Amino acid sequence: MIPVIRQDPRFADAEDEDEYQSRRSNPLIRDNRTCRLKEVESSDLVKFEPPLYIQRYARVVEHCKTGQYRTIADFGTAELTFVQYLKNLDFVNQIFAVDIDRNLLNSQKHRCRPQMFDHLNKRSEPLNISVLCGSVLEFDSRLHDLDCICAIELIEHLQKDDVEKFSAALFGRYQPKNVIITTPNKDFNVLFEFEPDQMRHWDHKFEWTREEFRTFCEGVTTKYDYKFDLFGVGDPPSEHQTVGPCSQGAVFTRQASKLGSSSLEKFPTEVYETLYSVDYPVEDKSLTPDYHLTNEIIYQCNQIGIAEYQEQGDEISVISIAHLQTFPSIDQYRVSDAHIAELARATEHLRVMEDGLSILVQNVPDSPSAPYWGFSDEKNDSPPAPYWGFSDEENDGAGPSYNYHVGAEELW
Amino acid sequence: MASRGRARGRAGRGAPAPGGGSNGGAAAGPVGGGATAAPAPRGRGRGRGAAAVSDTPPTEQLAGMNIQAPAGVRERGNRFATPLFRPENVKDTRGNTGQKIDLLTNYFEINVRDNKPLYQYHVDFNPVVKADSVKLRKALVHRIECLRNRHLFDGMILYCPDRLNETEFVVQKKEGDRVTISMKLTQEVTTSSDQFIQLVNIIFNQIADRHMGLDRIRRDYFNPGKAVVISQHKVELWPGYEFSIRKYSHGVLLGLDVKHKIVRTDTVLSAMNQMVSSGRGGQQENIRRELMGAIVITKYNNKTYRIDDVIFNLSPKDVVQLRSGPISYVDYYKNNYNLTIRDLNQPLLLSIVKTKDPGTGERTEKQIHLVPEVCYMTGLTDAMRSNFRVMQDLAQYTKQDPEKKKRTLEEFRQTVESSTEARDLLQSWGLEVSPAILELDGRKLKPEQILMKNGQPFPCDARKESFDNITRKNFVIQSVDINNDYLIICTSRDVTHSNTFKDTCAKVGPACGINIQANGKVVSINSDRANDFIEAIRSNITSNTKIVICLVPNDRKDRYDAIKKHCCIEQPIPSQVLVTKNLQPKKAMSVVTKVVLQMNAKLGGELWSINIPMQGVMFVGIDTYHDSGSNKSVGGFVASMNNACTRYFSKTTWQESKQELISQLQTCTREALQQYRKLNNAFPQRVIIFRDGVGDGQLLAVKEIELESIKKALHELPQMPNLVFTVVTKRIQQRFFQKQGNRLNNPGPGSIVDTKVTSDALFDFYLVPQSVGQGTVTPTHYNVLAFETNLQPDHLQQIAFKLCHVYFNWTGTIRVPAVCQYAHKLAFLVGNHLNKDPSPQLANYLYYL
Repeated sequence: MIPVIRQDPRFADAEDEDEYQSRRSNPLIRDNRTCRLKEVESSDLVKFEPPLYIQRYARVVEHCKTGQYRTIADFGTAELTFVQYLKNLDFVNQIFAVDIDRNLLNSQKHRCRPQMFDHLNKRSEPLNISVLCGSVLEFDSRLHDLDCICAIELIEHLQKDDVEKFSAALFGRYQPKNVIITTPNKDFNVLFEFEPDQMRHWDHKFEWTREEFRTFCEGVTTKYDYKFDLFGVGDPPSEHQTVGPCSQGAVFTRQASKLGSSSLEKFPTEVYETLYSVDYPVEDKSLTPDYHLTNEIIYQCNQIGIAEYQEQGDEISVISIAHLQTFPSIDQYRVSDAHIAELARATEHLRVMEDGLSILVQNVPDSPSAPYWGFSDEKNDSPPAPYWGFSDEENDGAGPSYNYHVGAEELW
Repeated sequence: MASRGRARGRAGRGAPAPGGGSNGGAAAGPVGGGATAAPAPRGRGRGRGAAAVSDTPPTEQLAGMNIQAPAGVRERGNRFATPLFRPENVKDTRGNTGQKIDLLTNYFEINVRDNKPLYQYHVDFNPVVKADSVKLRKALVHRIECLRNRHLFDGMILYCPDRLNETEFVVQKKEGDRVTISMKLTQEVTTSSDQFIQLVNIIFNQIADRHMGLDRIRRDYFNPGKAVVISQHKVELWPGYEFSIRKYSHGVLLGLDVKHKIVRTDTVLSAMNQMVSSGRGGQQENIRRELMGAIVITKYNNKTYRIDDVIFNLSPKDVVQLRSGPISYVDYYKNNYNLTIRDLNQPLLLSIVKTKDPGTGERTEKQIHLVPEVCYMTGLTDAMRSNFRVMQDLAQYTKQDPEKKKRTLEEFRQTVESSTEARDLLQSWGLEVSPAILELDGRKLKPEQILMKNGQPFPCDARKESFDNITRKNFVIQSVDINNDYLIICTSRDVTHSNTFKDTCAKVGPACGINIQANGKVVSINSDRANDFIEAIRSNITSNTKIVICLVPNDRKDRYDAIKKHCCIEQPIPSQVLVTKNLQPKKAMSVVTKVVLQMNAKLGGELWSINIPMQGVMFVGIDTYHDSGSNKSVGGFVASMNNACTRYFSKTTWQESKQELISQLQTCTREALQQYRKLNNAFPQRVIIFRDGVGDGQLLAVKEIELESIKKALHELPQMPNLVFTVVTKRIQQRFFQKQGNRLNNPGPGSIVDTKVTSDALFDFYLVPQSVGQGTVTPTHYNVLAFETNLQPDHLQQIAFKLCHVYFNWTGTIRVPAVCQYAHKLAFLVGNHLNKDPSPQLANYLYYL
């Protein structure tokens, strides 16, 4: 629990309450760096549309698509925003969203829960998303040997000393097949007209020029068996081409097909705390094309039948299979008329004419007792009983006896 | 599609925006989901809308009332508050006749620990965080350690279960900046207040949303993970719950009903294509009718929208103005959601979304355009409803019998109990859900006897409270002789049908006691066009013609409208429209029997009656109809003219804009009273009114405006009759299950409940009027607003049940008193088909049946 501090420590030297209040509420007095709300990624000189962060996510997603990565970890996931992009890739099977801020993750973890349309539009491949709390410098065996680890705008938040440890953890121990790292390009900052030493975000410990970033990448590849490709996001205005892209990144690819001996997978440990884990709805693969086609046939026959019943009062409709084949939804299965006839025969509701060329569908309930009379004057009377026959409930023995406290007639 | 929804005002539409609403959204993720996503209630009574300003025209005043209840009695937006509506003179609201029955109901008791109050704080931020940055405000408050998971905060007002020891907290923003949050205690919320109930509702919504993994669609919660897929109809059924917590006479209760959301697995676009390919004429109109009012789920942002219109002259290629500049819908979806719209020529859907400014509480309406290709439809369309196969397959899952229903309710309670997070949350607020569903006593009234010709009694089937067999007795109390004085219009193709009809009439009519013969005039026309029907009617009616019968080949609305307009307005005469498909040999007997009875009722015949041991009473039914297409709504007013409840007087009224309230009730009542005197030589001594079609939020307006104008009309009489005014509600949450041995069954027709789930603020009771063959029976709620009479609650309960028997279109009980159903039919005919007042010459006939 955060202790209650009645006075803002920055203005603890105020003489009296008035001075304290006025200094505290005056935006000009406050530290220029700490009051900055968002990371600077646009200015009067440069504006990105769509915003740079969206472009950046889109670029990383592109890489994941090209590589068809199935298992991906997102380090520094924060509000799980990048996960929202990843989960729409239909080939991905596993996403780990990792951050060190437990409170933040706890308040955001529900964002990766399957949404209503995920249930309607089921995936063909299974997908699990796990939200893990832990430090990138620790080792969790679940994240070993993944297809890809993403560290989007993360590295510049590390203390310079930790960068080396970060590389060791990532490339030396986790050893994913690919690593994607993005970070601000300091060369670009001239377009933001910063003051000397000013950085894009209050929490940035450093920002790298293109040269510095390349040096970092080369350092990684000499030490670990990876190669890298650089990329940039957010092109500078044409008159400032020399500053390079606003955000720079690198895709590292593991060279060795066999993992190095320093790997810690011999000691499987799950040190990250799992805050949330969810499996996405997935298509039932056991359903055959015939199953889907049968349903499509029933659906279309039913639609045609009901339309004919409403138009002409036909209680039974005869639908030629040749006609059904003209429907794109049925034609796409490319099956013979005979096959359709066979499927229709196997259903409960449809019948097939003897010549095998047409399907019969019944448009009204069979039950002769069904008092469903839909003539126009009646259509809005809700019949109190279900109109497809009465299901008689059991009568439980003797009828009720009426013990009137007050005789019904007496009452009046 | 007829909409019976609540009235909606349409003011201050903003610029249209595409589906996403705000365009800052990055990915297809739910917005918010921040610290405390619950919208805490509006606790302070600031800035209530001016409901009735003296210089606005009365209709507008009425319209205003629909949007916001008048100040003083109900807090705006608080749908959990129950204002005091019980008539002051009524002390005891319970009856005691009938046989006692043991019931269960779909309610759980909520135990409130120690009756401990909750504490309400006003929250200030220093440096100031703007009132409209609700997300940031919530996130900051969430950082206060001692409040974590035990507060509700809407951005302004904070509630927590304990009194805070400290009232000032310093938290750190993500950017490292420090913010001081100060809390000022504004009030203690006692457990008996409406506000408390509202908070408990919010807490339970949170549980459903966060800890039970349910998805919210409108006000209800569903579990798509447990979907039942019905592939052959391209639908899924999502099981779910509707729940609300309210205060009843038994205390705070959690009402729970099992619901199913029907979701189509194809997009709105393919549904539209299906409509076109199976199409009849007027496709745009058809599509509009099918889709309007439907709720759609979008593919990208997990939101639901209600479709208010289909815009055929817009397409995804069109450009919309956003804050960031103009963009086409196609590009918008591509950029923001990475969705490719394939069909570039589809029309767009319009949804009007109401939003409330969190700071000022000001309500605005925003038009949102949606692309059908990326929307999924939920709910049943009219086409699905008329498809027996769909309904049959759905009923298998949706109609749960009492046993099954009880199990589903208990599952809900177990899910809450088994979630640690939910349990902790409830515990921190001092709440507890009782383990078993609520038991209560009911009473079953005696089955009624139907009175036939000469007062002969005919007993109802005790279990179903129906009397189908009556049609084999020569029963009609007073028949209107039709003989051969009827005129049949049909197409030349349907002449054989007309013969079937005439012959069958002559067979079944006399069996019921109605004189109708087989030699009426038949006019055959060469087309099925509406105009030809009208022309044939116009030129063939003679002074002898008692009724016009049109045999039509199908259910086309335009033709039906034209025929009804002609026969109700231009050339007033009772008319009967019949679709020929109902004259198939298998059905002809039973259908024609009903039609003959219906025709006789339309002509003023008296079919059957019921014993009402009271003299000089006039029963009145009132209902309203709103047409989603036009801006007008119709009020139907029907009054009984004799003791036997067989003759009726009717009148319709029109209201500007969509509203439930009827403004001209004083005139209606006055005319009905005059007509009553004309027929009975005396004014009625009692006037008993049943008002249907009133939403919860409109009770006050009904009481203050409708009831008062009726009273004015009654005061004009030499002696003011006794007045009873009851609001009837069919769509309610309450269900009752009768314990019989170790089984649960539906309580039989005539079951009354007037304890525990009734309200102390009301004079109300529940009546089960019918029996159902499948599923759970829905009781009808009666809420008495005026009871100026020497009758007892028992009398009213019995009257309500008796009146359910005398609806001439059904040989059994119906869900509401017959006068209400007549009023409904009248309003529906006039609103949906005539669009104009019918001729007053018909006012004494049930021509609208």
